[in-house]
Amino acid sequence: MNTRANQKRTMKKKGLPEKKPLTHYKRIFFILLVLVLMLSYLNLAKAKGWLVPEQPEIKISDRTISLDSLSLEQKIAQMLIVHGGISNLKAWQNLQVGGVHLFAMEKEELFTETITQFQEGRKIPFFVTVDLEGCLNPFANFKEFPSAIEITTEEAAREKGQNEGKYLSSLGVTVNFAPVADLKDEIWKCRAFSGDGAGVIKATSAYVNSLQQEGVIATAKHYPGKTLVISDPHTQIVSAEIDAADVEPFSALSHEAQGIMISHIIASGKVDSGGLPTVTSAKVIGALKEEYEGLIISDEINMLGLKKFYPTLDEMYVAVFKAGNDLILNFNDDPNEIYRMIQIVKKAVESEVIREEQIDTSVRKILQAKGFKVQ
Amino acid sequence: MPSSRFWVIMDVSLALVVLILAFNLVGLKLPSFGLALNLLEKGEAHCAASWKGEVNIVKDLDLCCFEALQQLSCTKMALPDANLLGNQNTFDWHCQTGSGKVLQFYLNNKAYRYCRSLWR
Repeated sequence: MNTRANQKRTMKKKGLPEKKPLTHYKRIFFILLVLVLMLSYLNLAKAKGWLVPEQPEIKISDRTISLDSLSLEQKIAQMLIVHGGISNLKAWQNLQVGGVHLFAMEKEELFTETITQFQEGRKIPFFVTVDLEGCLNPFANFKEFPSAIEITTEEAAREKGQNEGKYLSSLGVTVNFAPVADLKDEIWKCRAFSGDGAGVIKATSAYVNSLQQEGVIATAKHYPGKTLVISDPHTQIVSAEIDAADVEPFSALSHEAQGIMISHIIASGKVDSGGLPTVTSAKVIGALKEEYEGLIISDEINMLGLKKFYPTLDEMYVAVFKAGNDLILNFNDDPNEIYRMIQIVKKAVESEVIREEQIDTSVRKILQAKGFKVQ
Repeated sequence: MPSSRFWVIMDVSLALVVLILAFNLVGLKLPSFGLALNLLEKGEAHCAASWKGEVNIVKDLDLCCFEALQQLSCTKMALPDANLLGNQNTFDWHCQTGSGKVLQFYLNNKAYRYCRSLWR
């Protein structure tokens, strides 16, 4: 107290204004303010994916990649297709995910700019994917294409595939999640090709071949069929009895389409998923792999039909990988969640819940589809 | 000169902000504002798809969200449209890309808020 009184006196003598000590509340205020600023920055960094660690650089010589040179995290990341929002550009590049899926944009230039930015400096390019199918058109703001339901001849389907393939190729899109090979579309009424089973097979086959001739990978969906049917609105789980006719378009396309997308329905009958969603049924995917060598792609995994089936997200993540899908669609916009997914699957591989050879086989297919030789 | 009461209020407010930021940082999931509103709102979530003027309710809300959120824009309709599917369903949001022959989507507020929370 004496010291403070002395200080006051000295300051008064020197004509200096008297310094008031910070109150207890003021001190707490400034400490909290600093904490808020630090935490805000960390939260921003987290949201932007700046905290996601960068993967090591990949060694490629003469378009040849050795699988052994990739870490397990890099391999798992290659099996993911995420939403290609430009705000997550850096995070997806750091994680080296396999592909980015683009939603609708206002102008054609925005598509080309986005794709250029994503691919810039990439040793392994991203798959760039879109849903230009049926009556869905992410380019509809500036470019029209006929809907699948309006296609009535094989020639028209071929022309549609060629026009769409040329256009997608010119933008830099490498995979189209089309055509819908389901025989009927009871939900949207416009996504499947018109006609009977034979008509759908002819149309989808013509579309697939002409699209792929333009350098764009076609994806027949949604295996094993009957996906676009009305679901139980309470459980969100779709069960369907699959007939031989439902599977025929997929069998016909199995030597043509470079990709087949697996649906979430619980299948019984000709294809039996054993009470599991088809996308997590090792039995169904294993059987499909015996007759099909192309890419097996999961439908987007954040839908209730699939999520409700598993007690936790972690279990669902492991299940979709374990079932044998080569590419998994997860459009969660949080890079930290995608990184967490990679870590969960990595642990499952390390603990031998998922075989590493299975991951290697998928990554080999993915890299080959991207034009690399794989050792 | 602010009173000590002022500083107490400021400290408590900042402490709350610190807590929320810390929870978010460690990944403790709090329901988003949209999801909270969605839970509080009475009534059913409705999503419908329109193809060439024919409107159909899509019972699988997640599926409808999945397609609707990929559209270029979702705009709040000036007046909730009660006439699309009769009086039992009203829609507040319209999602579409372009005006050509493509699928268009209609959602009520509850469905829209739910959809927005799906991929976050």
